[in-house]
Amino acid sequence: MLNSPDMMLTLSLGLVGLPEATEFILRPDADSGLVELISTAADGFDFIASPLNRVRPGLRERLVTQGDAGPSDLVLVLLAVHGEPAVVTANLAGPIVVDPAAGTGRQLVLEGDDFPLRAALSGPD
Amino acid sequence: MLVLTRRTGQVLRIGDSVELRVVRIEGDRVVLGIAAPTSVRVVRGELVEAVSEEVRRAADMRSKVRDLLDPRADQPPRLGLQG
Repeated sequence: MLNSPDMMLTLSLGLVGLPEATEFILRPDADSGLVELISTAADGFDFIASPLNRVRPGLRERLVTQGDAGPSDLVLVLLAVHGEPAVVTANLAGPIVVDPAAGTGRQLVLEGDDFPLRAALSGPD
Repeated sequence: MLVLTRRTGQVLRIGDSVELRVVRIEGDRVVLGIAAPTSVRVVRGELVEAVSEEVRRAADMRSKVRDLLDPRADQPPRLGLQG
């Protein structure tokens, strides 16, 4: 998937708090292993995301076991920046489950200590 | 909004498949038990709000994320997990 070309992604329910954000171009970056979500709307929202397993190995498989994701689904988490010095964080509480074959996806909201809102990913030493 | 009064141990039913029980009341906290099918997701309202805020922050911070993680930047990326 991460070496694939751009694909269209429809989130029929939008993102949490952004129900209008429904249509994206999903652009994998083979160099970084990250994924860009680029809104097709003129005033849309763009994101950088990471595959969940890159942040927490094995957690994607847990979502599959729980029935929250299909075996072939891609699970992405949105990246943000917090703190001073700045640290990149991943939103594990709101992963986006993508069916690459269908070009569709949905954002989940997950409770529990294993799904923090701001999982530290990297930052200055 | 429907407002109902319940006592400890009493139950509310929502639709055919969701049951909400008042387990106990501790001061200003109510402990609820929820029985629902796995297809019904139950989350705290404040968590949904927090995820929503984080989504907006992720959009606002896209360029900064890229700067911090870009392997082609002057500073080498640090992708080791901290938390």
